Amino acid sequence: MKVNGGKVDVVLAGVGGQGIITMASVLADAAVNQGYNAIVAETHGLSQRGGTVIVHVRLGDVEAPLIMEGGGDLLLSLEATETLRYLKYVKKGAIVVMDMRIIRPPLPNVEVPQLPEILEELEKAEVEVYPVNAVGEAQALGNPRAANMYLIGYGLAIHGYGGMVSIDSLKQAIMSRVRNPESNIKVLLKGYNDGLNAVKR
Amino acid sequence: MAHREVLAEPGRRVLMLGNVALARGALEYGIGFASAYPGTPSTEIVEALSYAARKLKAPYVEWSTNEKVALEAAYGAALAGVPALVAMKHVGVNVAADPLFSSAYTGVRAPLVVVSADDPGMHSSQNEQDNRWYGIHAYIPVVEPAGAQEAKEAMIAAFKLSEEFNHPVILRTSTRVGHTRVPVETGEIPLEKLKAKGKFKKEPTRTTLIPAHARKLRVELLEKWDRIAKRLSEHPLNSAEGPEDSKILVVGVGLGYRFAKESLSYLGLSDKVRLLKLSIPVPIPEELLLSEAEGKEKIFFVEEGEPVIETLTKSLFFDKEVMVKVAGKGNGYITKIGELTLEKVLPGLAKFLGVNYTQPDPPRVELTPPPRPPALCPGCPYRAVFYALRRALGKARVRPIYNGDIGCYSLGVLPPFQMQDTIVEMGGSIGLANGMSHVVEDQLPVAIIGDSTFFHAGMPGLANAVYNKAPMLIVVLDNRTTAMTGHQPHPGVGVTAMGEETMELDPIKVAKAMGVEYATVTDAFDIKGQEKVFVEAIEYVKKERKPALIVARGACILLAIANARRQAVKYPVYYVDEEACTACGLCYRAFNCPAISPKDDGKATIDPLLCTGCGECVQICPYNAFKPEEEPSEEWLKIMRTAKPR
Ligand SMILES: Cc1ncc(C[n+]2csc(CCOP(=O)(O)OP(=O)(O)O)c2C)c(N)n1
Ligand code: SF4
Repeated sequence: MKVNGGKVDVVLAGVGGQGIITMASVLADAAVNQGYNAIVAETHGLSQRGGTVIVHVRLGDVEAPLIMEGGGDLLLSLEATETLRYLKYVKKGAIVVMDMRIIRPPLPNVEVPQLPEILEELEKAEVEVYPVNAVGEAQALGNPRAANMYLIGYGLAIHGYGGMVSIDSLKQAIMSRVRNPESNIKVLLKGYNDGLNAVKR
Repeated sequence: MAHREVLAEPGRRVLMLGNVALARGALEYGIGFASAYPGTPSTEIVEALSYAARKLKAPYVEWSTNEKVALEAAYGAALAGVPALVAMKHVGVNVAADPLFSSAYTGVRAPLVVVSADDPGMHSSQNEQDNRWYGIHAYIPVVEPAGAQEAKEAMIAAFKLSEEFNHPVILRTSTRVGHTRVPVETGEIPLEKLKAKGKFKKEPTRTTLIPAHARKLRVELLEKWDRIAKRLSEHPLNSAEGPEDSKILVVGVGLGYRFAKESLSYLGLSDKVRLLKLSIPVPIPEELLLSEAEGKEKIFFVEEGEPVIETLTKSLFFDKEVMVKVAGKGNGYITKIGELTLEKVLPGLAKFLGVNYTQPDPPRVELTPPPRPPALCPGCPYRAVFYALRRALGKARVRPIYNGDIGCYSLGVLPPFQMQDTIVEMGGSIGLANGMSHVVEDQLPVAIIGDSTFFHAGMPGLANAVYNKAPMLIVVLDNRTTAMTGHQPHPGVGVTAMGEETMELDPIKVAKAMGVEYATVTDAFDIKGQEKVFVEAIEYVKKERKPALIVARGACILLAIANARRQAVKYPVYYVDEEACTACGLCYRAFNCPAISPKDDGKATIDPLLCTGCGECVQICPYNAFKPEEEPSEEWLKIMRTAKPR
C-alpha cells in the first residue's frame, strides 16, 4: 500500500436513494486503484427509505472508520438542507460542494428552510461554499441519477483529493462499479470542468 | 445485492464491505455450510455467501426461518463434521441463546463460528447490546476484528481456533466493522473443501445433554476454558506495539484499536505509549495482560460497546494484587452511549493521561434542518393497508391498540398514520396482544406483523392465541419478502438462498391449520376492498371472542419494480389533473405519499422520478384528480401482487 503521509476526509451527505453509497465506493475505489488506502463507513437498513444519509470517506493514512466532528476536509452534499445537518463534520475553512435542490421530507406540515436562507447561513459559516446544480446538469446529460458523479468531479477540481484520486482512476472505478458507465463518466467530466472554471473565477 | 467482489480472483487488493470480507474469509478457510436470518448489520455476510454458492455450487447456504433455527442448523452441520458459519444481528443471539449455550457443552466436531453483529448507536435496532457478554456467559471464545481491515483474517483465525479446540467461537462485529469498506487482499479459495461432505459419528455421552452427561462436560468445559485463555495470550492477533518501557498502556479491543491508534497519533503520542491490540479478547488473555501491565502506572481501555474487557481486567488485577490505574468506559472516561467516535475517545484519553487537548471547533449554522426520518416508500402497499385499516376500525367503532412489530411497517409509527402503539421485538405484536386481549375491556388488540416476521416468531404466538381464545385482529403484511433488511426471500415466497425453487408456505393455510376460523386474504393495494374485509373481521372478533387473521398481500413496490425491469414490463406514472384537484391536501397530509407534494397554491403535484405506479392515490382522491400517463398493463398489475425476490 502506498503511503504519502497525507489524508483526506470527505463527508458525503444526502437523502436515502440518491446513490451516496455508490458515490463513496467510486471515490474510494479510485484511491485504492492508485495503490492508496481508503476507509468508507456507511449505514444500511433503516437509513435507506428516504431518510437522511451520511457516509464517511477517508483516504490515505487513517485508521478509524469515522471522521471526527470538525475534522472533515470536504463536504459533498446532494441536498441543501442535509448540508446544514452534517456541516459539523468538517473543519473551518473546509470546502462544501452542495446541490442546491431541496427535497421536502415526507412529513405532513414540516417547516423547510428555503435556499436563499441556507446560502446566506453558509456564507457566514467560515467554509468555502460551492452551490451547484448537479441534478440539473446530470439530467441535461441524460442521467439525473448521476448527480453524485458530478459532485465527485467538482470536488476533485476544487480540492485535488490529496493526489490520491485522479480523473482516470475515477473513470476506471465507474467502469467497474456503476450501471450506465458512459453517461456517468460524462457527468463526472462535466462536474470536473465546472469545478475547474469555478476555481479560475 | 450481489456482492460480486467476494469472488475476486486471488492475489488482488479489492475494496470490500467488512461483511463481504468476512464472507471471503469463510470461503478462504473452506466452510461447507452457512446459515442466517437477516438482520442489520450482519446481512451481507450470508448474502455474499449466497452469491458465491450460486456461482461455485458450494458451500451449502440457507436463509433460515429465525436465528435459533439458523444456529441449530449450523451446529448440526458442525456436529456432522462440516465447517459451518451462522450469522445474525445482536438481538438474533437472544433468540438463538438456547442452542448457543448447549454448543459449549457438547463442543463441535468441525469448526462452528457464530457471527454476532452488534449495533451500538442503534442505526437499525431496538437496543444496544454487547454480545461479548454471551461469550463470557456461555464459555465461548470471542474474536473481535480490529476493524474491517482485519475482518477476513479474523474470520480465518476464528475458524482455526474453533478447529483447534473443537469448540464454537463467536465472531463479534459491529456496524463500523460490517458496514465499512476497505481494501482487502484476496487469497485462494479451496473449492474441494467447500464441497466436502460430513459424517456424524455417534458419541451420546457428548452429544446428549442429559444431566449425567452434562455434569461431566461442565468439568471439561471449565478446563478447556483455561487452556483457551492460555492460548490467547500467545495468539498473533493479540499483540502489542510501541515502547515496552512506557509507563502507560492503551488497550484497543477489536475496533477500539483503530480509534486508540488514531487518537494516540493525533495527540502525538504514538512512539511514547505502549498499545495492546486485543482481537480475541474472550476469555481474557490473562498472562498477556499481566505481563503488559508490569511497570505500568496507567492503563486505558478503548472498546466498542460495554466496558467488558476493562471490567474483567480490573477483577484480574484485584486477584493478582496488581496496583495500576485502569480507566475507560467503566469509570466514565468514555461514554457508554452510542458508538465509538474519535470525539468521544480523544478527550477521555487526554484527560486520563493529563495532556492538553481541545476539541476542534466546527463551523456553525443557526438554521436547523427539517427532521428527515426514513419513510414508507412511494407506492408501498403498507400505506394502503394502514389507510384502510384505520377507516375500518373507525367504522366498526372500536378503540384499537396497535401492537406493531419489526419491519418496514414499523415506520407506521410516524405521522400521519401513528398506527404502532408497541414495537418491542420480532413476534412481539401477536405476543403482547395475547396478554392484552385477556385484560382489556373496551379496546381491541390489533397485531400488525410482516410475513417474514410471521414465520420467524409469529407462529407460536398465533398457536397460543387460538389455544387460549384470545380475541384479537391479526394483520399479516405479506409483501413477498423480508424488505427492511434488503429483500431476502423467506419461507413464503418459494425460492431459497441458493436460488432454487421450493414450496411456498401460505400464512393462510398455516393459520387455518392452527385452528384460526376467520382467516382470509386481501389485496393490499385495494383500499376499499380491504376496508370491507377488515370491518367484517372486527365484527367476528367482537362477537366470537376469538382471533381473526387477515393476510394483506401485495409486493413490496421496490421488489415489483425490480421484477418488472427484468421482464421488460413498464409501470405507469401518475399525474395530477389540475382542473380536478381542489387543494384539499388529503393526499399529501392524510395519505402522505412521498412522491406527492403541495405546490404553492396547495394543489398536489407528483414527482415523476419518485412515482412507482402503484395507483393508490387514485383510490383515495375524492375528486379523481390522479390519472395515469398511460393505463397500467395487466402484466404490471400482476407483478404488483406476485413479485418475489431472486
Ligand atoms: C431477532 C431479530 N432478527 C432480525 C432482525 C432484523 N430485522 C428487522 S426488520 C426485519 C424484516 C422483517 O421482515 P418482514 O416482517 O417481512 O417485514 P418487511 O420489512 O418486509 O416489511 C428483520 C429481519 C431483528 N430486528 N430482530
Ligand atoms: S422497501 Fe418495500 S416494504 Fe419497505 S417501505 Fe419500501 S415499498 Fe414498503
